[in-house]
Amino acid sequence: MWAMQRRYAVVGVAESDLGVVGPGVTELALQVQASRRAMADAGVAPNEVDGVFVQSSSSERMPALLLAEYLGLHPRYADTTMVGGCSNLQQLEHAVAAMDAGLCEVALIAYGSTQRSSGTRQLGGPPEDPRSPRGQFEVPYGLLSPIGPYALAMSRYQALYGARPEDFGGLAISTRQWANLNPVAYYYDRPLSLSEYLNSPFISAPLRREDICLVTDGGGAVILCRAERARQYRHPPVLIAGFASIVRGHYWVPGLDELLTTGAAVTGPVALARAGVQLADVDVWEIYDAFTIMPVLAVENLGLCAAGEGARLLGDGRTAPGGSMPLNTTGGGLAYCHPGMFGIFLVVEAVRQLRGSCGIRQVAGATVALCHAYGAAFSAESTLVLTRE
Amino acid sequence: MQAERPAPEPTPQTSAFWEACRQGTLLLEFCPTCQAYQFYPRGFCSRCGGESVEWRPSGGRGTVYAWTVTWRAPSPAWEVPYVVAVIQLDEGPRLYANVIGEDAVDVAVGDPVVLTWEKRGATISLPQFRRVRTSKLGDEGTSLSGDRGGD
Repeated sequence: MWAMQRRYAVVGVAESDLGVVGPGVTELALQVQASRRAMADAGVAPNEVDGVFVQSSSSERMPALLLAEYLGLHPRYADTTMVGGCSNLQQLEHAVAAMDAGLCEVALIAYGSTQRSSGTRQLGGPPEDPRSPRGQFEVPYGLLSPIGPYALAMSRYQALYGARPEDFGGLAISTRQWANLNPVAYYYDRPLSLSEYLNSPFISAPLRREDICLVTDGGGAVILCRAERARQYRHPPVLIAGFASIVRGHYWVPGLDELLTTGAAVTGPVALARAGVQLADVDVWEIYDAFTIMPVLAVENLGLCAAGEGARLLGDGRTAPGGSMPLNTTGGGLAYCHPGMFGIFLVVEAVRQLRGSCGIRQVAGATVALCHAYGAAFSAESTLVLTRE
Repeated sequence: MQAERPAPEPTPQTSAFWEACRQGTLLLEFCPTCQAYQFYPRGFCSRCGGESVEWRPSGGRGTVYAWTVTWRAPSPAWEVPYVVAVIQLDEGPRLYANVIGEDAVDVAVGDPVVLTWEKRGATISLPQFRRVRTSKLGDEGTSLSGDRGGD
């Protein structure tokens, strides 16, 4: 059995304010808000936190130092791993490894971004040095970033497997139905119909607007510690059963062996084996959905279905509330929030589902959750398996 | 004033590549140990780490591995719609390019394409690709070298 299986737990989770926070609110403020809420959720005192793991989507180069100072923390361990949208999941792995090595006892993982209110999101991505590999061999061609790489994957997927727009639309509609149950979701009050999906304009074909996530503000935080220590805090511990990550590139999609064979092909089996869990045991799925093609490729590469079957599988309604495969139960990046990166929100929701605290969004009897996140356009991926005690 | 599309800036590792582009040739690095081409050029083999990579000219032919039609311009320099593709060269490696020409937006995965060039700024000739069309007489679209015009 994997030595770290179920030895560490998530004891506190929280979101910051989400949506459009307005011009006066900084990303630090959202990180602070999420962090303080997560500590309160756990009943962890600030002076217990000795490991700080932070990311944002801004240009702040030392977010761990800044957050620790503002919160009044004195951590022994700091980490600002930046591998795109899965950064917080890779940081969770690093936190477990650090705790296992005795380098910290209580880890705070936090994220916050005001990319919506600050207007910093650009269709072409952040400016690239024209001497860099992307500056020389990608930027001159006008590929949107990160929308473009996922559009490329979708065109190839549709060509190889004949997937229909209605399949991807079905996933968008099912996901919206979860948002319609979530009062903090951006599209809480807006259902989505198939005709609205099909009529939404192409942004980078074949990706339509309704295939693409929101651009919002928001943040989240989780608190980790050893399972034995976890029992003293406010909630039943949610155990980290297994995880795995991969790093393969820096947006350079042409360099991938096969665009549709994603990192989940490696991280899924390893994470599940470490967790001692099978795919059939998973009760609730939280899979990064910045674009509808992402959960589709994830379920195929995780081994849930054969290559080419994922769009039909996820598009047939089973992922919606009441269905057999609850997926993205917040409403996901497509309809709940998406402040630049989404990894932390997968964990916050998975923990809440396993605590049984999701109210009308609760997946009854949820015992095993699987989180999967992407980073930097197929460049990095992470799978995380959580279980109740 | 029309905004300019971004231009690459050559580095010591890529100056030979871009100079060859100006002469109408697409160079690829070839590793004699791995017996394989690689792109983008970086002065050593990214598979084996070896430094004996050598430049070889590409035949300028390939197929469309994946495509996207951009409908929202990232800056005023771009006129939509335009096609960005991952091109699979016959030699093996893949690269980004625009598919240009009046039939570009009908591009499909697997389409054969042929190299062409687009002048970008004062000093750069950018590799681009056109879809290969066969006429009733069987001749193909565009010559692969010496065609420095762009759309």
